[in-house]
Amino acid sequence: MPSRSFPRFLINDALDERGAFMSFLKYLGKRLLTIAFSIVVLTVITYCLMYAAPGNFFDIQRYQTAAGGTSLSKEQVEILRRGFEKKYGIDQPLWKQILIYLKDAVQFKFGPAFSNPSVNIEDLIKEKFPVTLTLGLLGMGLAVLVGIPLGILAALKRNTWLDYTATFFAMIGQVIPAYVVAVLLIILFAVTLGWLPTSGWGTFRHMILPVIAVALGPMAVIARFMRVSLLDALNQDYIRTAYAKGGPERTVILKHALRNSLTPSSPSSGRPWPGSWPVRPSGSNRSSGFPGSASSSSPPPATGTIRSSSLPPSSWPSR
Amino acid sequence: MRAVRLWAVILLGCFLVVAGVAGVVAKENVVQLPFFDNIPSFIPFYWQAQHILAQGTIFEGLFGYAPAPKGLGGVKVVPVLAEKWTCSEDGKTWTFTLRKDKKWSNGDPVTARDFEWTYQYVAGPSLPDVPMWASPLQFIENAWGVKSGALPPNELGVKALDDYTLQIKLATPRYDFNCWLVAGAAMPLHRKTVEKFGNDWWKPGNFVGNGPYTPVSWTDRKEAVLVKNKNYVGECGNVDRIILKNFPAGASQLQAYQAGELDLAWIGNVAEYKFVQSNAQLKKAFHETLNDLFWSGYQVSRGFNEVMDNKKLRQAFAMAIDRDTLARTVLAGRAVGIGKFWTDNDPIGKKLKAIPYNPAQAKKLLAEAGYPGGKGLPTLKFYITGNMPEVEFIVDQWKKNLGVNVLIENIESGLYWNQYVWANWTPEAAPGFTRISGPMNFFESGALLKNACHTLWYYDYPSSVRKKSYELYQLREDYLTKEGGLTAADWQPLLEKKEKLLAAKKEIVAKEPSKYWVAEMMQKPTFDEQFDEVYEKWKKAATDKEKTEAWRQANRILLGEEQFQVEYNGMSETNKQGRRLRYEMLNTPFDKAIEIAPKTLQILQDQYYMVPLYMDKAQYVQRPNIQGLMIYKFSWGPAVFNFKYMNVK
Repeated sequence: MPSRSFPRFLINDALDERGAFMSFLKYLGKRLLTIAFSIVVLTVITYCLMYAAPGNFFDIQRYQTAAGGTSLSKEQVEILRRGFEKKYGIDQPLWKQILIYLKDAVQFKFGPAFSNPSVNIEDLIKEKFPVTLTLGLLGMGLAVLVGIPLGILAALKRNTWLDYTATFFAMIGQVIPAYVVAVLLIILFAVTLGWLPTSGWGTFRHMILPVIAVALGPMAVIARFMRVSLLDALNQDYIRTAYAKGGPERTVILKHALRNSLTPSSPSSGRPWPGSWPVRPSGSNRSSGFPGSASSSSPPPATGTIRSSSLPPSSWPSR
Repeated sequence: MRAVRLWAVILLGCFLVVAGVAGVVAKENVVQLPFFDNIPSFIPFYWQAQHILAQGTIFEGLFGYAPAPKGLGGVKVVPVLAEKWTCSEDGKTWTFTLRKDKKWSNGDPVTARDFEWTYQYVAGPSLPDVPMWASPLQFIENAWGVKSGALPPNELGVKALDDYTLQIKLATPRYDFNCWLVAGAAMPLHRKTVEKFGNDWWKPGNFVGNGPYTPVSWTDRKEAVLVKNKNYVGECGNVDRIILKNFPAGASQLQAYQAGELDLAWIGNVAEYKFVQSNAQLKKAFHETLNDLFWSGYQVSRGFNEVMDNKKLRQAFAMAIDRDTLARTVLAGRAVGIGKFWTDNDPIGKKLKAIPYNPAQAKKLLAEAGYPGGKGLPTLKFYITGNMPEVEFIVDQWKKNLGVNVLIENIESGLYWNQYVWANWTPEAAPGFTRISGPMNFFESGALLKNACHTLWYYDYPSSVRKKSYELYQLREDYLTKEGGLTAADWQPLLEKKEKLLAAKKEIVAKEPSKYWVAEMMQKPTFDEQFDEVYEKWKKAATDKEKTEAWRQANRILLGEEQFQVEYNGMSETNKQGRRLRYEMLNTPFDKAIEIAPKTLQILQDQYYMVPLYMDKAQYVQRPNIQGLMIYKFSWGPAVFNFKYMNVK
């Protein structure tokens, strides 16, 4: 029996640990369930909103008909409408559509988009997501690797030219949007110097410019957070005590100040994800010809041609 | 010593292999071009960017485009797979003799049976989302019955009389049917490949086409690589490999061109144009061509307010804009100011009278319209989306020349294009204007009107008629879900209404002088025949659901006919005249339709509902060693297409 083999306090510790582990599992389970429930609820709400929104892809096709100057008879339009609705299951009642969608989503089956019947959404995600993930990870890594030392340097050399320079560049990185940085990098490194390609993805050379463009903004944020946080830590009593006890500066900074100041600045390292190159269907990926997942979901350009009339805010299943 | 010799031999071998490969690679002519939009697949019949590639690059049809510097859009329609063809006198039966030497990329011969199978497959119900309106299949006998699933695909009016003779029977006369056969949706497919690979038949590796180039790789929203089809028989340039890179609007095409990653870059805006003009190297590589298949201007809002029913008012607005200044200043010379739908240099525009810029006359017309100096005129709105500096110029011209204040209202893009610009009607729109650009999709007779035929369909009636027509349309939509029709009593009013409408229709048909329009009105099945068929269905229906469905359909058929009659009886005489000419155009070969087009367009233009202001130029920089580029100026353009004419010097 364990009670005979181990001292009592160890058993108590083990029991405590087991209890803590169980409550952690319970907590985790609860959180996961909440997340799953939230996803379902949000999906249903979004689906309903898209359903209720005026306009639909089929009607847009009809407008294209008109835009093409060709007139189909009412009966012909009806034939197309029925076939279209049947193919995409939108002839079913709303509740059924939602259930089918949820069932398919769980199996990661989304089918083709209205706007592109030739390719399944899941295939596009499978193809694009690794690219987005790679760029996001590299961007985040670069932002952390450069941002943190920069912040430390600025904090340690407070109010020196080093601090001012680091802060200046951090500010610049923060205020210039990624799509502007992207264009500037392209002009400098691809057009003028000819060192790197202007667009595309696949080799290490292709990754350099997008990763820098993505990382620059978050890098600046991390550096600024790090600086403030480290300065704050350096002014704490325990640091003064550590110095008073004769601790060497390097140990005090690395072991005590830096460790404590990393916590407040760590959330900012997640910044490359929501506001960056790969995940934002805006200018930056367009300007770079980047083939990440944002580019798949972004609508085609509205240039005033017939295409622009065809740019459907397609309904939910296509997204 | 032996080992040293062995190593020497290995090294020499490697060197020779590398040198050989390098030699082969060096010999290959590669051209890198931007593709304006994503290539979502290589399926030719969808109305997506790849349909431009399908037209003569990865596929070839019975007919195709060839360069014609003096022709409309710089192109002309020529036979490609068709060697000979005949059209019956009634314009409904087309017989084609195919060339016997044409091959698929896997070496199989291209035969009439490929066309027969493809058209049956594409018209079939298994592909409900094929945009039939952009396809010549829409005119083929029984196409709609096949599409709906009511008829089997072999009932489609397409027959391979033998391996190299194809007969196509049409439901209605189309004397320009050969021009429709250039469309992506008219290309043949390789049956065995489609049957073997299902939905993935178009993917590189599986793909079998019959064009001069074949795709060997494809990455969504990145690039597609085409190589020469070794089994292609016919004229083709010396480019071995074409890399098409996805560069949507706003992307850094010019930078890619400067960095040597592209051999051509489109100039997408004024800033880029100015940059090119300021750079000596780029300026040297600069080219431009007028996009004559596309007009840009404004249209009257599609609401029901009667203010804009006043023709003099519309004319006053149309004459108060200095188009040349607009093109020169706001559009920075990237367009040509023009007061008509075609240019002076083409056979249509030559015969069209332009809307002049005449502020004094415009002012006079405004006064004659009942609004001297703009007094008494309700607030007009110019709806825009995003950034439209040309509209600011137009509004400023109206303020300056007419003394009229027009408010600019910016609305969301999707709503704008779908509900305000291209919708039949926009009940919520205030009196005023929207921007519009009218393109051609193909060289077919109706498209020569460049969408100005919307004047006939949605404008040229008194607003009360437009409103009534809209209400009937809405009512018709309501009958998609209405309940009823279970008893004979429910049908009594419908039967009476049908008789009434039939009598009225007979009267219309008897009085209508245009035989073409009458033929259109009486196209089988006529509304009463459709109604009778549905009524019979109702009588035989076994369930309430079937009965209700038949009743809904019957209501919708009658409402559709009522809507037509309301429109016919309410339309202006100019509208009727315009429609007669349009139907005449549709019933003549394309070349003849070009002769009728100016008369039709003049009628449309003189209503001032849709007002041309300028034509864009397609501008690009290009490496001088590339020759024979064909610019696609139809509705998805500008783009480069038909790569078989391209050569590298």
